[in-house]
Amino acid sequence: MSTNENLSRIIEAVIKIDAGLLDTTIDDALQAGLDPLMIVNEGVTVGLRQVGDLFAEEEIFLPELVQAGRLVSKAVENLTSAFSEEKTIAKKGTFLIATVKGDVHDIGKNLVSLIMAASGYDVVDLGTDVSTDDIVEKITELNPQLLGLSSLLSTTMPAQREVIQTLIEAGVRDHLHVIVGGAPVTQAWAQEIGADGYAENASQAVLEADLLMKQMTA
Amino acid sequence: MSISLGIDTGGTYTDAVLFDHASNSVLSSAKALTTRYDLFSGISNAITTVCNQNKTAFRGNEITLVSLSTTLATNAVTEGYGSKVCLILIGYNKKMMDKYGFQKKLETDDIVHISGGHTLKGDEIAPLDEEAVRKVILAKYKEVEAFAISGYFGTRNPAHEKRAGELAEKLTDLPVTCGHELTTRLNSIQRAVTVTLNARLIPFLHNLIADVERTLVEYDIDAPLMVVRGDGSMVNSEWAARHPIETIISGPAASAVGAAHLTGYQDALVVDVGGTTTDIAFIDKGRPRLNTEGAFIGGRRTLVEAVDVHTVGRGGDSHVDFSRDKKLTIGPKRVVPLSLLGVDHPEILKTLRRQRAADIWEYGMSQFLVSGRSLNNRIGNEESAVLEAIKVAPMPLQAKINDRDGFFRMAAMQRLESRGLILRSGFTPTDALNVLGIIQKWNVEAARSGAEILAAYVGMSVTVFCNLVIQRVEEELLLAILEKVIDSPDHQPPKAKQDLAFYLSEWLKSDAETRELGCTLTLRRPIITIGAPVKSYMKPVAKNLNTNLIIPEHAEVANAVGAVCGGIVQRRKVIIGAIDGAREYRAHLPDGVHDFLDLEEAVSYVHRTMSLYMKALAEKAGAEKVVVQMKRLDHTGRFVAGSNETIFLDTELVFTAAGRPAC
Repeated sequence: MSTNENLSRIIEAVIKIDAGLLDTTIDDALQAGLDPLMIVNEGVTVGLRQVGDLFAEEEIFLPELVQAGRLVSKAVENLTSAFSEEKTIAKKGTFLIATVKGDVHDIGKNLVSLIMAASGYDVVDLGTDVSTDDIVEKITELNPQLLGLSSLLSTTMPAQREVIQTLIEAGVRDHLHVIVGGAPVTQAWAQEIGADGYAENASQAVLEADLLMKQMTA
Repeated sequence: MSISLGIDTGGTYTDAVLFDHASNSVLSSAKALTTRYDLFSGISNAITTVCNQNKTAFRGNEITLVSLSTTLATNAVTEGYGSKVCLILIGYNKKMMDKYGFQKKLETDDIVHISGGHTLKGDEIAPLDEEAVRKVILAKYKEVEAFAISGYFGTRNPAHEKRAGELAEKLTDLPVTCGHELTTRLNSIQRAVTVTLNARLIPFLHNLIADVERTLVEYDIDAPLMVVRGDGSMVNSEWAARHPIETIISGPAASAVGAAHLTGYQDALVVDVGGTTTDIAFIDKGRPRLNTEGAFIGGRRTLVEAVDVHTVGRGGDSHVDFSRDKKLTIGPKRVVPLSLLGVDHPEILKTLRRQRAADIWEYGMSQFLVSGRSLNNRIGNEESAVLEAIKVAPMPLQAKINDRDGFFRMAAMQRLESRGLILRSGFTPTDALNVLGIIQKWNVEAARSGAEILAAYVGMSVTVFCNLVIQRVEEELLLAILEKVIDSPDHQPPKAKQDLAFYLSEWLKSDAETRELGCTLTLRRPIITIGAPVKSYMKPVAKNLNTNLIIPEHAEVANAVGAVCGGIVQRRKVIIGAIDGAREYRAHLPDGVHDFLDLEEAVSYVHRTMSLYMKALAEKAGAEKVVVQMKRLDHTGRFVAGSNETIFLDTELVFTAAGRPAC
C-alpha cells in the first residue's frame, strides 16, 4: 500500500468517526514505515478538518464533531507518546484561548481548543468570562505565539477590542497573533478592532493559525 | 519687507537662504559644509555667507523670522548619544517587561518603577505612590541631567504623570518630560523610549539654540528663532528646547515643504538627492504625508509624528567602488569626491596618475584618507600613526594597506573612520558628472584621473564607465521610488512589496521591444526633485514612470526655503469611549477624564474645550492667527454579516491648530 493510500484510509476513518478503524489504519501505516509525524499532520488532522467542514455545512451535528475531536486527540496523544522517547513531535506553537469578560459561552471555544490541540498546537484554555488582566498575566507567563478570543454576545464583543488595545499599551501586540471568533463576529469586525485573523469555525481557526504562524517565521 | 532667514543642516551641507514672502522669491542663498560634530560652526558659516552676500539689499533688522531645521536630534538618536536621564515608570508591568526584554530597549539604565497607573478606560489601577516619587527625585537629581516620566495608559489619563512631573519640577531645576506631552498614542514601551530620548536631547538642542541666537544678535537680527519639526511645521525655540525629539527627520520634512512651496504643487512626490542620501516623500494637499506608525529612526520606533520618508543611502557623494567579483557598487558609504579633494590638494593628481600608470590593480587605488573632525580623546598607537600621516596631505589608501603591516593599519583606519576622525575620499557620481562634462565643478582633472584608474580595472573606456555610474544611480533611485509608491498589498509581508518593486525595475531596465508582454508604469503625481545636481539622474527616472519632472528654481536650497514655509501646526487626538456597558461616555482630555450621558454632549464639550486648548497650544509654539479644525471619526463595529446593527467602539476627534509665526 502506498503512503497516500495509507493516509487516505486514516482520513476516511476519522470522517466515519470509527475508533476501531482508526486504530487499525494507524497500525497499518506504522507497519508500512510511515513517520508518526506524517500520520498526525497529513492523516488524522486532515480528517478532523474535513469533519469540521462537514459540521460547518450542517452535514453532521455537534456531538459527532466533539466525538471526532476526542478520537483524534487520543490518536495524536498515542502517536506522540509512543515516540516521545526517541523523538518528540515539535509543537507548532502555543495557542492561548479565552472567552472574554462578561461572556460565559464555551461550546465554540472548546471546539477550537480541541481541534487546535489535535492539529499540533500547545493549547492553553483559560475558560470563560476571563478578564483582560488575567489574559495579560497568562501571556506574560507563557509568551504564546497565538491568542484566540471568543465572544458569543454582541455586548461582549467590545471586550475583544479592549484586550487588543491593552496588548498594544503593554508593548506586546507585535509579539503574538490575535484570532477572534464567535457567532456574531465577522471579518470586518476583526479588521476594525485590529485583530490578525478571524475564524468562522473551528477548522478555519486551524487554517488561519497555520497561515499566521507561517507569516511569523517568514 | 518681510524677509525670513531659513537654515537647514543636512548630512553634507548646511544651507541658508534669505526668502522674501511678499514676492515669494529667494533673495540670496549660501552653502557651507556641515560640521557634523559641531553643528553650530557650519550654521554660523552659512549665516555669515548669506548675510554678507546681500549686505546692500537689506539690513539685519528687516529679517522678521529665522527658522532652523537641524539634524542634531536625528544624529543623536542614530548614534546613541545624549545626557544622563532617570526614567520614572508609573504602573508598568515589570514582570512582563522582564519577560519580553523591554528594559533593554529603554535607552537608559536608570529606570525606576513606581506604583500607580491607569486602565484603558482611564481608571486608576493603584494610587500614585507620591512618597516614592519624591524619594526617587531627591536621590537621583544630583547624578542625572533630566527626568523622563511615563505612566501606564498615561495617554488615557495623564493625572499620575502630571503629578510626578510637578514634583520633579518643584524639587529640582532639571528638565522634565512626560509621555502625554509628546503623544496621544497607546504603547507604553514606545512612549517610554520616546520620552527618554526627548529628555536626553534637551541640553543639546538647548545649547545649539543658544549658540544660534548669539550669532543672530551679532548680525543685528532681532527676529524670533523657530525650529522645524519632523512634520515640516515650525515651533518657537522655547518649545523646541522642551520637545527636541519632535525635530527628528526635520530635514526631509523641510525639503518636502520647500519643494511644494517653490513649485506650488499640492500633490507630488518629492525626491531630494543629497550628498549622502536620497529622501523620498509624498506631498498631499501641500503638506508632507506623515508616518502613521510614528517615526522609525536608528532602529527604534518612536511615537513622534514625522514625515513618512523613505531614505536610501545613495547620493552625489556615494562611493563608487567594485565588489570582489568586479561588480560596480554605489554607496551607501559617503566619501569626499575626488574633484572636491583636488581643490585644496592638487597634489593628489600626481598620485592618481602614478597609480594609473602602474600595470597592476591593488585595492585602495584612487582612494585617499583625509583628516576629519578634531580629536579630543585618547587613541591607540596605530591610530595615532595614521592621524599623524594625514595631517598635512591626503594619504593614498593603496600605499598604506598593501604592505606588511597593512592589515593592522586597515583596522586602525576603519576605527578612525567610524568615529569620524578621518574621512575617505574616492570616486563618486558627482565626479562622473564632472568627467562627462554635465557639470563643471571643482578639480575636473582629479575626477578624470580617478575615472581612468577604475575604468581600466574593468576594461572600459572612461566615458562608458562614467555613463554606467550615472545609469546605476538612476536605477537605484528608480527602485527606491518604486518601493515607496507601490501600495502595500493587504496581508502581504513587506518583502512582497520589495520584490514587486525589484521585478518592475528590472523589467523597465530591459529593452521593452524585446519583450512579448509590454509594461508601462504611470506615476499619478508629478515628481519634484531638489538637491544638486539632480537633473541628470532624475530625468530618465521620470520618463520611466511616465510623469512630469519638476525642478524648481533654487532647487539646491529648497530645504532651507522649506524651513521658513512650514507654518505652525499642532495636532492632538481626543478619544471618547464607552463605559459602564455603553450607558455612559468618557472623554479622555489633556486635563483628565470627563463622563457624559450622551455622545453628542460629549463631542460638543470636547470641541469647546479643545478649541481653546489648541489655540493656546499653537500660540505657545509661537503662532498667531490660529485656526482650529476638528475631524471626527466614529468607530463602530458591525456584527452578523448583512445586518445593519452596529456597536459603538469609540469616537476619535482629531484637532489641528494652524497659524503663522508671530513676528
